[in-house]
Amino acid sequence: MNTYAFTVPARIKAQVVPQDGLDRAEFATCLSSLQRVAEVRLVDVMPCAGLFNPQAYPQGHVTYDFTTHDQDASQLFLLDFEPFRKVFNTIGIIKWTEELDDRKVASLHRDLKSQHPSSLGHYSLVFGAPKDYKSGVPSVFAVLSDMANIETVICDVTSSFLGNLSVYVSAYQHVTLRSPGIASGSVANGTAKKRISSSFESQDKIRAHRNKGRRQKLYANFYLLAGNLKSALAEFCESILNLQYAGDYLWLASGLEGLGLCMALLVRLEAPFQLPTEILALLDNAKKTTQSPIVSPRPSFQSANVFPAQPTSAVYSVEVVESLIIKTINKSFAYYRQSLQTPEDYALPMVLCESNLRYIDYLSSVNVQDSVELICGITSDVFNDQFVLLPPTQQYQIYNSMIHVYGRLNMRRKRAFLVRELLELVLNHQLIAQESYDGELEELLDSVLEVYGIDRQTTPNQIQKKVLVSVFRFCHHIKYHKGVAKYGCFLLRDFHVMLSENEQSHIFGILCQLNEVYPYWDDHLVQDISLYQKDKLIQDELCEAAIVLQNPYLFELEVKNIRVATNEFPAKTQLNLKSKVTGTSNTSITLKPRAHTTVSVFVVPLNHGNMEITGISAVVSNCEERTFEWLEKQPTTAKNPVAVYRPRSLTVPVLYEQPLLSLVDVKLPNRWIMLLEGECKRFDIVMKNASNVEINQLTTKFLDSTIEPLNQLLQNRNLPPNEVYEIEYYLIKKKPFNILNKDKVARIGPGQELKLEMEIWGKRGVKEASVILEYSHRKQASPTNFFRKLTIPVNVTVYPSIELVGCDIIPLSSSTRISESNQGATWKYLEKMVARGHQMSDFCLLALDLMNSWTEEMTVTFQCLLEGSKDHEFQQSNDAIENPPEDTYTTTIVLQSKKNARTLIPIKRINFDYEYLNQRVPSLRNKQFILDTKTPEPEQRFVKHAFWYRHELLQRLRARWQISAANSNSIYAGRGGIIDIRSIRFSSKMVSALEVEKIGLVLDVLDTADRVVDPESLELNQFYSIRLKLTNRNSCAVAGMLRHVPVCHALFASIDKKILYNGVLQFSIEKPVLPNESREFILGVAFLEKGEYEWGAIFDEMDGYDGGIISLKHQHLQREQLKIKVD
Amino acid sequence: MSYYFAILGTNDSPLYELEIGTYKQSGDGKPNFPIEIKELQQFIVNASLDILQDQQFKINQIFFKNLDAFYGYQVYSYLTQGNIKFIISTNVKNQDESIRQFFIEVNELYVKNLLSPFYNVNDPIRSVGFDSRVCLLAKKYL
Repeated sequence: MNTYAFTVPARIKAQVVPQDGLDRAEFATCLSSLQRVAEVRLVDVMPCAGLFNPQAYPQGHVTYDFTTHDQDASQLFLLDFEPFRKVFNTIGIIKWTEELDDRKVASLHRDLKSQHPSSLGHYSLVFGAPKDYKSGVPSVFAVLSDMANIETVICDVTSSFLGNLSVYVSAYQHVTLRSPGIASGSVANGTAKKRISSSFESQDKIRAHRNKGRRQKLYANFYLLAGNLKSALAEFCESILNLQYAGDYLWLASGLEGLGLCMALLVRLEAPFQLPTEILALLDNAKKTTQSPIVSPRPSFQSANVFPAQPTSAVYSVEVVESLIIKTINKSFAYYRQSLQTPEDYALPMVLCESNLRYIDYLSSVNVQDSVELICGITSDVFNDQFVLLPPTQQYQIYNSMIHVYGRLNMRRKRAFLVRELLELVLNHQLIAQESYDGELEELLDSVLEVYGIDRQTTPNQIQKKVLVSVFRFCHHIKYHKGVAKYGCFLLRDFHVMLSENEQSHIFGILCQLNEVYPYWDDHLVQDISLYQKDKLIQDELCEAAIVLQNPYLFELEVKNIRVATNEFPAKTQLNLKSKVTGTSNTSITLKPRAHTTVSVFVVPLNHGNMEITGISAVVSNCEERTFEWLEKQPTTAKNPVAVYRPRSLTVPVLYEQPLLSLVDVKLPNRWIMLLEGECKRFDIVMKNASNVEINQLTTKFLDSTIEPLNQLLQNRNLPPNEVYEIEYYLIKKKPFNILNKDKVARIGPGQELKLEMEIWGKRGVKEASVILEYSHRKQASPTNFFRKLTIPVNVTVYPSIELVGCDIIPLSSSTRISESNQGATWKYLEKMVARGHQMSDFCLLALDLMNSWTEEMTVTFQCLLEGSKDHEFQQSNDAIENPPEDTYTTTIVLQSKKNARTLIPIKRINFDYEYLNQRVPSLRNKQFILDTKTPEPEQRFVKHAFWYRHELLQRLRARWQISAANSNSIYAGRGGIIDIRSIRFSSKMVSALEVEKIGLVLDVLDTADRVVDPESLELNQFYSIRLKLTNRNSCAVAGMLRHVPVCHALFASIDKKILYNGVLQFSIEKPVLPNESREFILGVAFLEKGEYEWGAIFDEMDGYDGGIISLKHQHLQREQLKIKVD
Repeated sequence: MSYYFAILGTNDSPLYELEIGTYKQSGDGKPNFPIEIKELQQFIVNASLDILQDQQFKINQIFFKNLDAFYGYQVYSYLTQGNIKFIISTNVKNQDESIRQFFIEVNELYVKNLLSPFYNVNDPIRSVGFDSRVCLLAKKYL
């Protein structure tokens, strides 16, 4: 109930008191049920004798103001002036019990009377009485338990009260009413001054009018209380006229105010009424009267004639009445203000102020034009410089009322300002907030914050902080916990920069003590989340995550129950490595003041798919658990200076469960392996699948210390392709390890053991080597590239054994003769081969220089096939050639420690056609072929040819070393290995010695009988024929020019003078020679001089012989010159 | 006897504020608000906007004297064409005309300030020149 409602002067104050130990809750229910029936229609009330008989104005209402407050003693002196301030009735509330008999009720009623002697009427209500209960004690009424008869009871009370009131009022009949200013004994100086101006007669007359008017005003007030509006209106009108005549402004003002209220109530009852024309005139003539109120005490009845315009029986419309009321009240204020100038009858600040507030209440409830201006004007009066002098409780009530008013007027800034003032007042004077706003309080405080822009995303300022701090303190003061939590969080979240350490700790301390559940305020707790394992997580496996949390405050924060928040992806968070210690709630992490703290947690995804980490959920200090999004600050722009935060997330793919392989044992003595270069050794590696998941994907990789330098060499782009191939060969084909039981290890079931049978090869330069197993479980439905790596280091030491230090190829010609003393395997083999129909010139000798770098004597065995093996793995194999064909060359030499030796190995010359030779050098890495434009073409051709010839050679030859098993002194006895012959490099001379020429040019000397003769023993001046046999070994026909080149060793004479020949030395072969065909060309010669000659031949293979442009394609020399000796 | 002068933006945000003392009525030219009022001035000015907003669409004028009053402090206001509010809260009486003149000249300064390419509407006014000129005006009129 608003203390300053406009209708307060028409309400009967009734104090309700609990009796007989009624508890608080029951009392509250009784009080509220009473308040529901606070308005009583007079027509329902039993008639009673006296002035205020309800039957006199049955349409009227009596309204009660049920309070629990005592009569305000400070207002007692005002009762004669404003009787509605009196607490008229005291109502005792008794709870009905079985023991409650009339005697007890009577004693309770007596107590009530004695405790509240000033009240006019004392009534006791017995609540919850049974139907048949009837108290014998007068003024005691029974209210049924279902409250059905409560209205009747109030009507009875009213009837009794109205009777009492008549008696009470009759006491005023002969009293001279005094103004409260005098009655309270306040200063009344200067009264004589005013009276001097008037004559004695007129003074008497004035005094009579004044007394009459005052009494009428008082009576009118009582009528108003008793609901008899008709009489009240009449009395007010009368009194106003009298008082105006007497110039008694204070009472006049009060009368006008009463009249205004009276009219307002009449409008509410929709009862017709009319005002005397004099009154209307007074109201309309406002200016004139205010200007000269004293000077023309015109008889009121005369003025009626002056303004006859108003029809006497007017029934005013609501709008008219409202404007009338406003006029009346404006008038009333004018008089109140006037009264301030008369020291004897001035309006007390309290009276004026309350009257102002009542008026504001009225204005704010009706829709009148300019009501806002009026209200503002009046408020300025209320909040004048005297306001701070009022007692705090009254200030509090005024603020309270004005806050209501401004709320109603939707003036939010004003209201916010007053709320702030009110809060300051309450806090400064430690007032207990008497009125509870219930749910509205939050709304009100929120609106205050909104007015000061506190909920907006602006940079906080000091004023906002001040307001918020007082709101927070207020909530704390009135123990409004919800508010404390809300605004405390607000303060800490947005204003922590402005709060000192003490303030922060104070607020935090208060928040900590709350029982209220509220979320932690700082949305930016999570600063960063990162996973140590970025690419892929595995289902059911731990992954460490680093979460950076911020504490921008000056106090420490405790964080508990940290869990990673995901996009509803099932995941578990642990603080410890061991999953059994899942009770993370016990472990709390302290965030240091003003610092970022990195918290390491372990995330276990419980499913597979894509896990998106969006933030964390945690309990901070004693706030409720909440989810903190991971927010990222967007860069501010000139257009948008307010920082915008966008949620971030971290998405990681999670793979289904994967197996785990663990190494059980590497079966090596001393866990170390010593090898001689080229040697092979076997050992076992035992592993176990330690998980519950099957390994169905297993690849092995080998790593040794030579790989890295080789890889670096490969980076060199200027390397010729054959060298690239060599490096690739060592990287890809010639691995240090070999798994022998590869086919058996495709799958490893859960818990199963795996034995890998390994072979290790002693490669030069290896210092350390390791086996890398890459394994995974791959599901058909969703294949993955994921694998897990197990690296098994194997300790290796490789010592050099036999090294190839040099090589050469020595051609053999058809004239080569093997002497008797050449008894080596090479010669025997050659002889054997010649015997089998091979030509000596079909062979050449590969000379290999070997050195024994090892400390013991070694046997070196060579095996060389006649034709290159078709086995692709031939070069990789480490064993001796098994079951070599019969025509295989085999030799064995014994090499002392640190000694060199040269071995000659007969190699059948290789006949490859150009097509094969011109194939480009393959790339083992399947690298794209890049056309080399820098290297000259002949060189490129040579590189290719050399490569393929060497390739063929390597397909034929194998060399092994062995330490004799018979050597009992050595612990290495019986060991053997392969000799790496890949270091052979060909020069162009070596290539030409090795290859079979494409065009075979063979020269012979025939005698006249076409018999071949020995060219070393020709005779002078005899006819011979030189036979040139041209064999085409190409796959296509050749054509071109053939030239005989005879050379005489004696330089001083022309060859023409020494040899006669029949024909030309240079001629075309005319028809092309088809592949694998031969043609013979005969040239008749006769030698004219003795001496030694050399006879050579050149074939210029030419293109475009069959038409078109003729160009030189190849130039072929004959392989062996014909050496001629003429005796 | 002091003045509190504030320029408020269209969104109620303060753009400029100044406390002005007067030499008139035997003042010493220094603002001497009681401490509790000094703290309140910003609130009083803010609260008066409620009334100003009500009035500005009803009454065809840009200068309002006695717009509001609180604790004996009168509030004067002046509306610029851009809906920027100049507000003075003072306990000096009977200076309506000089306050009006002051407002008119401040408006000129404000418009000049607005012309600056580095100034946007509703930005706080930080120009030292503006401040010193307003102080001069205050000395002249108030």
